[in-house]
Amino acid sequence: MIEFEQAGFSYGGGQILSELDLSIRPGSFHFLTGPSGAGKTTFLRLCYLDLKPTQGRMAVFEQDVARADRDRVARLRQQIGVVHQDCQFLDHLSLRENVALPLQVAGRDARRFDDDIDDLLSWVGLDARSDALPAELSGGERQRAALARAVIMAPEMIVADEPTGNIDWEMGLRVLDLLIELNRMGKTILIATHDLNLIRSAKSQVEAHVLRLRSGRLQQAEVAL
Amino acid sequence: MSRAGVLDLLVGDRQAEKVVPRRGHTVWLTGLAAGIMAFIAVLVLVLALVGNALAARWTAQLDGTATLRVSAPADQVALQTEAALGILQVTPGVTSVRRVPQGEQLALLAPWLGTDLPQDLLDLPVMIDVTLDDPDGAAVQTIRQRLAAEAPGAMLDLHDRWRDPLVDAASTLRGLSMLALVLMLVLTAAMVSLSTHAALSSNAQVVSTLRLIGARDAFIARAFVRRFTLRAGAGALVGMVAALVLLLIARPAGDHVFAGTGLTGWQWLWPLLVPLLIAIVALITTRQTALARLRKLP
Repeated sequence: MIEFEQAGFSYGGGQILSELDLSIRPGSFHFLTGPSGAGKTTFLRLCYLDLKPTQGRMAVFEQDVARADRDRVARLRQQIGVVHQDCQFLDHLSLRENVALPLQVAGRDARRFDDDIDDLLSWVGLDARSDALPAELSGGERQRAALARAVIMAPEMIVADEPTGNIDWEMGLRVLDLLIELNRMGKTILIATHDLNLIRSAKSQVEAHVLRLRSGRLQQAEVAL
Repeated sequence: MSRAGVLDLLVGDRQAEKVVPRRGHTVWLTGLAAGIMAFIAVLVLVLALVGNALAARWTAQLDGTATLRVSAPADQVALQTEAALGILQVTPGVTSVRRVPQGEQLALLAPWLGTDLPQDLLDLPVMIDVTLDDPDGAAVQTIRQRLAAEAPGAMLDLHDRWRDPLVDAASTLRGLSMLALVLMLVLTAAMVSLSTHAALSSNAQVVSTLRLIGARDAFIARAFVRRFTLRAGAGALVGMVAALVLLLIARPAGDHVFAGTGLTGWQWLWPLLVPLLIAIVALITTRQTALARLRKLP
């Protein structure tokens, strides 16, 4: 699904990530940990193609990203659902419109997917809040809404950057349960988090791999959790 | 722009436009500035048309006419006048010959010299109005050659020194007007480009979110293109109507030198080109500016 071969990323003269060798297999579940500033967000941005590696090779869905033009990259990005810590909604659109946005961006008529959107909002427990603006949602609701938006295009992979960082433990577990459910449906999951309890909880339910970033280098971390 | 893109603009890609919040003054100011540009552009355009009409009218009035002036010693005047009239009457291409009576000459001088001048104090030359079917034809050469031999005091004036500067002035006026129109379109493009940059900056979060969910550059650009194009086009339309209303109110009439030189008939359609051009310039500028800016993102 995603292959890194001696990949690295530098910016402004600084080496942020280096010697990345990793293969993320379809249907796998990965956590990404590491201290602040280790490059977790940069690594995730590489994964969802917001950045391209400046060294080495990286392939997403067997497509060498260095050779993909901007339109191709955009289409690849549509196959990767992204959940941000700050959710990144369009504040002037309702929750329903935000969730439908990836369909619209992909050139599909969102009205033809009304039932799917209803099902999705119901799945994340927000069917009663579909007309609310993002500012009217709680932190947990926003995370679940972001997850709904991330999966509306039925992507093969979900990338989440600190999805539980701004919400309480119970709500965090609820978001994790949704991600685990997606993984059981065959989706590949990659989550960046500091929360070891969250990792422990996931490992008790699915086979989760833990990647650790330290000083821009990646380590498989089968650490005691 | 693709056919679908043009259709999106004409029919309206409201879905794409809706992703950008309606806020900020850039779009509103674009409409206002486009309106002012169109107002000035229409006036400049009409000025060029008026200049053309004036030059055409004056040229038409002088075209094909000539004046033959006989200035000779007193004892030769009658003789040379008869000789000149004889030459004119037999030369092919001369359609009419009329000796201007002295009273008519004095009437022409009256605004400068008054009406009470004694005629015998003025040594007025003999003036003969000549009409030619082709002022550039062979007749002129023939007349001049024969006059030189038979009436050396007679001078044939084709009014070139009046007509040519008029044609030159009209041409210069038209050129300057076109230059002014082009500069106004360039200014419109610059203004729309600045506004697009400002709109993209103030909507950086929207752009980031759209990219995050896989929006292509063309989709993001389209959201801005429709809004700026329609606003600039609408503003320009209002500016054009305002200019036309002003022209209708200030329409020259009566014996005014500009009488009959205003827009007539189909010429009223010319100003419609102004908002159309401004809308096209806004469309192309917004699209190119947005795409160039988006291409700088990773």
